[in-house]
Amino acid sequence: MVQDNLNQTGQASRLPGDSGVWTFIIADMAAFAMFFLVFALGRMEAPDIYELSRQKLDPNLGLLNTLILLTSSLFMVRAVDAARIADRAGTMRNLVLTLLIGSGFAITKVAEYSAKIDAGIGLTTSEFFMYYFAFTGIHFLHFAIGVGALLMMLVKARRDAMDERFVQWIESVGCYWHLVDLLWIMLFPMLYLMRAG
Amino acid sequence: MADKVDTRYWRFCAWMGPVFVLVFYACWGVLGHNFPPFSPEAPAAEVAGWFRDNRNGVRLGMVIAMTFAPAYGVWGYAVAKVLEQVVGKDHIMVQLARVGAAWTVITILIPSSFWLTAAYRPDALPDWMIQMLYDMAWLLIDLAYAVTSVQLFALGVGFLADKRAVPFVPKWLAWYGIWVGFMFIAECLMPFAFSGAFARDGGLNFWIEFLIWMVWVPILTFYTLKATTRIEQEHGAG
Amino acid sequence: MRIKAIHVWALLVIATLLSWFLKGDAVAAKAGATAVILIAAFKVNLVISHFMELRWQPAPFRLIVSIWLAISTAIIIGGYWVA
Repeated sequence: MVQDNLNQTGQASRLPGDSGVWTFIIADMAAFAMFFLVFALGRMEAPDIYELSRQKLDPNLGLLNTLILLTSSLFMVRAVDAARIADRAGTMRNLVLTLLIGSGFAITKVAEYSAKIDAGIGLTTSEFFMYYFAFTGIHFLHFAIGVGALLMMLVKARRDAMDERFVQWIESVGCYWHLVDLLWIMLFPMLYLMRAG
Repeated sequence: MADKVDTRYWRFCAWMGPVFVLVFYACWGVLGHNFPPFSPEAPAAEVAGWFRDNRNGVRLGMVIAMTFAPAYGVWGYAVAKVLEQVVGKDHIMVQLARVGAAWTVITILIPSSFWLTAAYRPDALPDWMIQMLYDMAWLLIDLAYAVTSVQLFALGVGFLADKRAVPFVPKWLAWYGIWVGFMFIAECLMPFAFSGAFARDGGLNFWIEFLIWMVWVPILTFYTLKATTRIEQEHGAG
Repeated sequence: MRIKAIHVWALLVIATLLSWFLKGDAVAAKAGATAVILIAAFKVNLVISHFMELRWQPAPFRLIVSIWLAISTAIIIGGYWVA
């Protein structure tokens, strides 16, 4: 894989987005590492219960959500690229696509939660489901904040100058949106796909 | 030169933050058997028995914890004084940072009085009632998280507006505070959990949540003290 | 040359579908579960490198994130194998 230290506009390598936002992102990743640890330890205690609970999840919806977030992330990258060449129309178009595709995640998630509740499965069903609802719920909150941030960027893209400051804004929001994606990439196989041997 | 800023007592007030953390840990935590708490699955007889055997320890612990609870608010006001020098006296973030700190004091005082009640005449109270007081106190102190989040968010957002070359509070610390306020939301799961990481004694809802907050206080105190010196230099000794 | 975002996306989708195939009965459960997590780690690394564009310079952000990924992967796989 070829990779150099220059980005598309040929600038020397630098941190994309705001360093403070990266503090938040890294703290958040640390929190999810704790979640993984808690889950791994819980699973070690009762692998059979975890496996039985896991089988009650719908992996199709999990797969759909993975594809939704990956595709939404692609348009986020394009929005950032457009902003770097001060292409206002391109930035806005790609932000709208990021939002539209991304909102599919909310629809799927609501459908999934309501199916679980209809089947009589809730927070207190088992430790697995406590963690399932907690981790995906906290992840969903990240998603919702991301949607808010994207809407804010859409307003800014319409109104503000396409300058360095705007690029830093959209890069920060972009990195956050990719965080939502990458946390789901880990949560999905851990919760839905790890079959007990 | 800008107007003189009267910084007298700021340092004393700022030091109340670390003092609060230490006293709270020792008195509320160790003497009150709250660090870590009894598991929600502990039988009522166990909790009640412990309160009966250790009534004077709990009484002493809660009396001192309640006496020092306002220290958190005093500290919060000292930090807000520094924030005033960033965003201006009447800024809403300054006001929110203050009330967030002040409200937090109440969320410490009231549950402490429940633990104190359990230790006041434990022989006269049935086991289940002592357990209920213990639960009630924990449900209140944990679910009052949003009050402290107001302070965390207001200080975070406020200090991010600092345009100085070297801001009073570094960007990472401002964002860290915002993250702590955000992470507190995991406490919402605490009433549903009787074991595991989200229970009141769990790895996440007890150990991580209390730790990330208790670490934030002394670090922010350090920068508050440094900022106080810088403000005195900027404005001439007050 | 920067890899085009759409190619990265295609690779991510292929990796996702591969883990979908591995979740079935085609492979032994333990090997399948381990592979699924390793694929996820590979995908996360792609997102960090090409979507977040987090390069090795400037340190230390990339280093921290890479350590995070290694630890997270080890936790999930380790917990699975010990159980």
